Amino acid sequence: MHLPHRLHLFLVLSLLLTSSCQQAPREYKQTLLVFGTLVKITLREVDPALAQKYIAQIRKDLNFMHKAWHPWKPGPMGRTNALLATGGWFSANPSVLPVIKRGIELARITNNLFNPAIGKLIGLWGFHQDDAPKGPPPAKKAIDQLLARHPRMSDIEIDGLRMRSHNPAVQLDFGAMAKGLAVDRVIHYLRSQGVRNAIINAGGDLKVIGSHGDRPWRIGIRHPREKGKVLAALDAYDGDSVFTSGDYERYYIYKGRRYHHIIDPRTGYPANQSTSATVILKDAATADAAATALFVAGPSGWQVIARKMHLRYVMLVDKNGRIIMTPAMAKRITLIDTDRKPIIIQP
Amino acid sequence: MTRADIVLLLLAILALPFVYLHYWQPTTAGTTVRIMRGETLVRELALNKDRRISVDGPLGVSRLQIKDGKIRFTDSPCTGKVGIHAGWLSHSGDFTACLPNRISIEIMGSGQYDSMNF
Repeated sequence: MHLPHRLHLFLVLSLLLTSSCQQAPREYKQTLLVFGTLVKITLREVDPALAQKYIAQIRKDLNFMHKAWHPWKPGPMGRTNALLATGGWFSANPSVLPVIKRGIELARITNNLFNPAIGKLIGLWGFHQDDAPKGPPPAKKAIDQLLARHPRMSDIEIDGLRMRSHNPAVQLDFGAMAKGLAVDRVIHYLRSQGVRNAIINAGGDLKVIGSHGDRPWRIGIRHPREKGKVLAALDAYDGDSVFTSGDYERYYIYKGRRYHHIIDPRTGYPANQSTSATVILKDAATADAAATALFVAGPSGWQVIARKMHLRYVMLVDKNGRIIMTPAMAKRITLIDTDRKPIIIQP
Repeated sequence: MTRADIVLLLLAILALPFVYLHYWQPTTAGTTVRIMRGETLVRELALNKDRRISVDGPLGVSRLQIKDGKIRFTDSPCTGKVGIHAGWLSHSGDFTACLPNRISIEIMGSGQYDSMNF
């Protein structure tokens, strides 16, 4: 072999070696402590200076939304609740009006299993405070009294920019939708700035733009009961929102019994038929509300909600550990740390 | 083919396992953990060395344990105990926090997952 050939061989081998260690596209990760949770932002192929600019704007926007929509601290939502309780007409604050409109629409389509009008009930259970409640659970009489007043989003009447409530028991708490709405707005902003590949993960619920280079974003779903384990994995594609409602994060134990924060609006008690409900949808606010409604509906009622909301991708883990999912979800999800076979049901 | 060509080929073949392991082998778990106070990085630690860590926050001390490539909160002055409820974390992209004490942990590394849903 002559020198040029040897040089050729050397170059080919070098190319093979170096092709595997090409510099990865720039990935910019930032954690924000905003919106009452941890928000993880991952941006790919974005100039670091621009990434910092975007993140500063996201922080500002999330802080604004958090203050405006906070269910129990003074602010626009708090003032709205006080005015709704009077029963009279008032001018709605522009920062909360679109939220309330979405809430009315999503409560209707979930048969009120997502019901942001039950703020008084959530407060009664002690979940309207920064510290977790320690128990005891509220008295049955107090729960029944609130339930008897049937607070619903349909009690709110909106006329242009004005609104009023026909039921003084209505107190708004958008804890089951606000995170989704906020994530949608952040993603919309990033797209408007030309960001093509990103993940926004707000306290475990997430939405993606684009992909991770030449493959989709890979998402793990935590096991609702076996700590440290991953129940399932899936690929997320452009615009996918992956939202899970579960009973394993915000809860307290009183006299050996678990009381979590997802209250069934029909009974007034924490919904007790599911341990987690996962939804994939393009719209994060809808995914957020749908996950709550499916969790509350449980294994006997989730299909009604899935049909009404036209949900294709649903996975529900019931209180007995059974994993139920739609055929479309079964096609794109891989179960990981479980021996259970999924029960596949067409809604 | 001369002796030099053979040596060059042998070197390249010998380097292949290293290249494969180092660059192509998918890892199943994260490799380091970032411990944050608020939005400030306190420490980034490898998960391959067992140890216990204490981190001061505004409410007091949050205690963490690294064992067998995993990390968990063992104690934290938060009433919600969300960080403790999360249990052991080992997969890249996973995270949890004791929010009132502003202490959070996140698994880093090129593992199986880009982000964790819960």
